[in-house]
Amino acid sequence: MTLEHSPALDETSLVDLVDRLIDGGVVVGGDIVLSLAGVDLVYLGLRLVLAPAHKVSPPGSGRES
Amino acid sequence: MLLYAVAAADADGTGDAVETPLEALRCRGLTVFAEPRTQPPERSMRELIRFGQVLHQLWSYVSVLPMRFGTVVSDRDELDELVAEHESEWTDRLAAVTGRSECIVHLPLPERVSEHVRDEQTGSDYLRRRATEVKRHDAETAELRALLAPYASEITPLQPVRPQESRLSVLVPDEQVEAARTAIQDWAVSRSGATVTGPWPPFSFCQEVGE
Repeated sequence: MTLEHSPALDETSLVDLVDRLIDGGVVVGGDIVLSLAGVDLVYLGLRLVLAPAHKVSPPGSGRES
Repeated sequence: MLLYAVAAADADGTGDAVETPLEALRCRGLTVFAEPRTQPPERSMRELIRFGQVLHQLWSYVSVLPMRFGTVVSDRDELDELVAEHESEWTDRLAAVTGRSECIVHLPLPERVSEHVRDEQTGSDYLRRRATEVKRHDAETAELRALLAPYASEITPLQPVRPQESRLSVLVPDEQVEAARTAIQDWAVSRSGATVTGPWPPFSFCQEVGE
């Protein structure tokens, strides 16, 4: 089973995963880290992608079992 | 090479456990899992999710400190230099997260002005109601922290990613994850609701959180 197709990876989980991949984890300084500017664009892209999905979600659908 | 995670020195190679071949590179007292590649990762959602998927598989196999997406080094010398600089800190954090998972709790925030302001008779009615809701949210957050304390070795607030909720991240022993989730869900029934995601690799606990 992959993360992309896991039934547990709903919208809220996807938000957390992407947020933590970009803004969590071991952070090291210096030139070896890719510029985060490009990643920020990905992040912004996710927000835009998720916005319509959230609006059409039925009430209470975000709660996981 | 693209770095995925740091593990203990005795961590084995992943074999078939991870779909992307990763090298287990011994560096001083640690092992670094890395993907040999000549180009940095594409800055796309597809690549980000693929990185997360491989990282999740790796973490299912061995306790790790995950690296932030996009951390690359040009060669082994650069990696050795990086590990030498952070070895003590990473070893300490690895000990703190081994056998533990991160869970993230989403708590609804008090409703915003635009949603109900038209129903208020006066501005002071609105302000009173708003103050009550903020106080309730603060009380629920404190209650939730107290509820999680027996399960969590560390708790840290996360920056909100959606405007209607706050988030708390907790580091929980693997064998307590289900119990913690159940406790949160039971608690949320009589409160304003809460959603839990995870278990995740310990993304938010790679640095000491100070709580």
